Amino acid sequence: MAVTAATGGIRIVSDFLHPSLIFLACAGLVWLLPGRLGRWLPPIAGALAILAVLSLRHGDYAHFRYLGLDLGAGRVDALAVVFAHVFAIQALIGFIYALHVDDKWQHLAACLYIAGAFGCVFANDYVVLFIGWELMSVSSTFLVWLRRCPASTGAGIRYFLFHTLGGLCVLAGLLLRHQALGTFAFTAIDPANAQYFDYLIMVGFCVNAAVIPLHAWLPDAYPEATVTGAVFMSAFTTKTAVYVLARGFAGFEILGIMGTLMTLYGVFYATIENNARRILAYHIVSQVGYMVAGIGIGAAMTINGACAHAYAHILYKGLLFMGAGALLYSAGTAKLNELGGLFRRMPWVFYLYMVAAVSISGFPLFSGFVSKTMTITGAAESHHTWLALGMEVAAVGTFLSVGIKLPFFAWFGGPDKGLPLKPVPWNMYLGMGIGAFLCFWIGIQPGFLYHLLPNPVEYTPYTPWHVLQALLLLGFTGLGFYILRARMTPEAKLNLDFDYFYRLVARVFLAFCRQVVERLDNWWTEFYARAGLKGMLKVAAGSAWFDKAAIDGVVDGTALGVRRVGQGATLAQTGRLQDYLAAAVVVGLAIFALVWFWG
Amino acid sequence: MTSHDHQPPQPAAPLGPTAIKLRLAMYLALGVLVALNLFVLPHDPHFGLDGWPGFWAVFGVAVAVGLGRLAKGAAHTFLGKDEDFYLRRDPKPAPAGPAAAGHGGHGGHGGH
Repeated sequence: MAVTAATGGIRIVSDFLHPSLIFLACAGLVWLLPGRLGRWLPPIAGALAILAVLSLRHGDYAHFRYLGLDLGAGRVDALAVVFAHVFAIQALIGFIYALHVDDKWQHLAACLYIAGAFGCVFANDYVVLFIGWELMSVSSTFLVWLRRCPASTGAGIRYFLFHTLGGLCVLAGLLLRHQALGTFAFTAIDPANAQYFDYLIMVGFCVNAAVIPLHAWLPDAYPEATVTGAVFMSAFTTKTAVYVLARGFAGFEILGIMGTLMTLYGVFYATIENNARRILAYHIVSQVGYMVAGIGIGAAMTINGACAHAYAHILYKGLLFMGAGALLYSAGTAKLNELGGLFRRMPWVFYLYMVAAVSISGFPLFSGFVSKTMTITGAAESHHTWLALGMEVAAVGTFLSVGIKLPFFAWFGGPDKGLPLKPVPWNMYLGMGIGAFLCFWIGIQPGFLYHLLPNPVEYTPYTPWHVLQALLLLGFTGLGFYILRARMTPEAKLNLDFDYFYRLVARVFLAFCRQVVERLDNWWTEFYARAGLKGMLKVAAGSAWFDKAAIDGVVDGTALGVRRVGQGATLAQTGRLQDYLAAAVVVGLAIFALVWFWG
Repeated sequence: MTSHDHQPPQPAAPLGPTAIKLRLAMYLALGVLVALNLFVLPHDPHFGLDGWPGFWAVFGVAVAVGLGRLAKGAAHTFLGKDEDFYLRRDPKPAPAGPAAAGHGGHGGHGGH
C-alpha cells in the first residue's frame, strides 16, 4: 500500500497505511451518519486495519515536521507488529460484538480510542506517543460515561482525573528529557543510566499499566463502562502501556518485582469480589502483572513471554468481558449474588466464556498455556526463582476465581433465580465465537503466535512435564475450591482498595476548598460589593449612556450582537465535565488542523 | 464495620447420585495425575522441592485453600464494606436545576 499526502510544505510518502487513519476516518463517518447506518462501518474499519497490519514491512515511515520538530509516526518493527496484529484483530471482534448498538457516540469513542492505541504503537518519538496516549485517555473516558448512569459518571470522572495525572507525568518527563538530552526519540533506556525524567515517564506508563498502587482506577471504572466499551478497554489501555514499557523500560528490576506483586494482588481481590466484571478487572491487574514482570526481568524469553501473553490476554480477556457483558446485557446485573442457575437458559454464553476461562488459567490446548508458561519458565531460568514462584501462586488464584468461582456462581450454584432474560443478539455470539476460536487456535498452533515475537523463540510448551504440571496445578486447585465451596459464596459487599486513599485526598482537597478558598472568596465578594461595586455601577451607568447615545448610533446593533454572543457562551457553560471535555477535544483537534495546514 | 454482619458458611447440602459420581470421577482423575507424576518429573527443577512427585498437587490445593481463606478472612475483617459505603461518605452534590446548570461555569463570584 502507498499513501501520499502533501500538505503545505509537509510531504509524507510511505509504504504503509497507518491503521490510526482508518479509525479516524471511520470516526468521522460514524459522526456524520445516523447510528443505525454508522454502526456497520467500524467492523469494516477493523477488517481494513487487519489488512493494513498484515501488509506491514519493517521500516520507518511517516516522518514529518510539525511545530519545528522532526517527528515519526510509523516505526514498524517486530515489537510494534505483534501488538498491532492483535489490536487489529480485537478491534474487529469488538466492533462485531457491538454491532447491535445504535448509539453512534459509543462507536465514535471506540474508533478514536483504537486510533490512539495504534498511534502509540507506531510512534517513533514521545510527541506522537503523547498525542495517541491522550486521545486514548479522553475517548476511553467516554466509553465509561456513555453508559449514562450516576455510577458511570462518577467512575468516569475518577478515571479521567487519574489518567490526566499519569499523562502529566509522561508530559513532564518527556519535556525534561528533551531539555536534558535534546531529543524526543522514544528508544530503550538503559536501567544503569536512567535519570529522574525517565522514571517520571515510567510512572506515567505504570498508571496505564495499572501497576499497584496506581491501579485502582481499573477495577473502579471498567465494571461501570458500557457493555461493549469494557470489551475495548480490556484490550487496549493496559496493553498499550505494556508495549511502551517493553519498548522503553525492559530490564528495570523494579518492574519485575512490581509485576509479580500485581499478579498476586489481582487474584487476591478477584477471590472476594462479587461483581463479575470487577473480578475480571482485577484479573487484568493480575495478568498484566505477568507482562510487567517479564519486561522487568528483561531476558529474551521473558520479553517474548510478555508479548505472547499480551497477545493471548487481549483475546481471552476480551472474550471474558464479552461473556460477562452478555450476562449484564441479558440479565441486567453482573453481580454473582443476584445471578445463579443460568446454565439451562444461557448455555452458549457459558461454553464460550469457559473457553476464555481455561485459556486465562493456562490449560493445555488453550492460548494462556503457550504464553504464561513462557514467562514463568523465563523467570525461573534467569534465576528469578521467587518471582517465578509468585507467578505460580497467581496461576492458582486465576483458575480459582475466573475459571471456577465466577462461572460456578453465575451459571450453576443453586436453582435458577428466575431473572427475566433479554435475548443475546447474534452479533454478540459471533464476536465471542471468533474470540473463542482464536483462543483455541493459538493453543494448538503456538507457532502462529511465536513467529510474531521480537526475539528468537527457544521454548517448547508441549513437553510431557509442562502438560502434567499444568494439569496437576489446576486439577488440585479445583479440589481446593471443592473444599472451600461454601466459604467462597459471593457476598454483596464493597472491598476497600487503594481508591480509598485517592478519595481521601479528594475529600481533604474539598474540605480545603470549603474551609479556606470559599471563605476567601466570600470575603472578596463582600469587599467587592461594598468597596468596588458602587464605583463600578457609576462607571457602568456612564458607559451605558455613552454606548446608547454614541456607539450604537454609529454602529447599530453592536451591543445586541455582543449580548447574543454572551448568551451563546452562557448556554455552552453546562456545568457538565463531559461536555467540557468533548469541547476541549474538538477545539484541540481544530487547532491541530489549523497548525497542520497553515502552520 | 461489616464483620459483624458476616454469616458463617452454610453446611453443604447432601449430594445427589450424579454429584457423587462426579466427585468420584474428580478424585480418580486427580489420582491418575499424581500417579503419572511418579514417572514424569522435571529434568531441571527450578525451586528444589518441585522435583518431588506430588509437589504441584500439594502446591495447588494448599495455595487454593490458603488464598481462599486469607482473602475471605480479610474481606470479613477489614476490607469488606456495605455496597453504598462511598455513597454515604461522599459529600452530596449540589442540587441540579436550571439555575445551577446555567451558572455552572461561572467563576468565583457565585454570590452575585
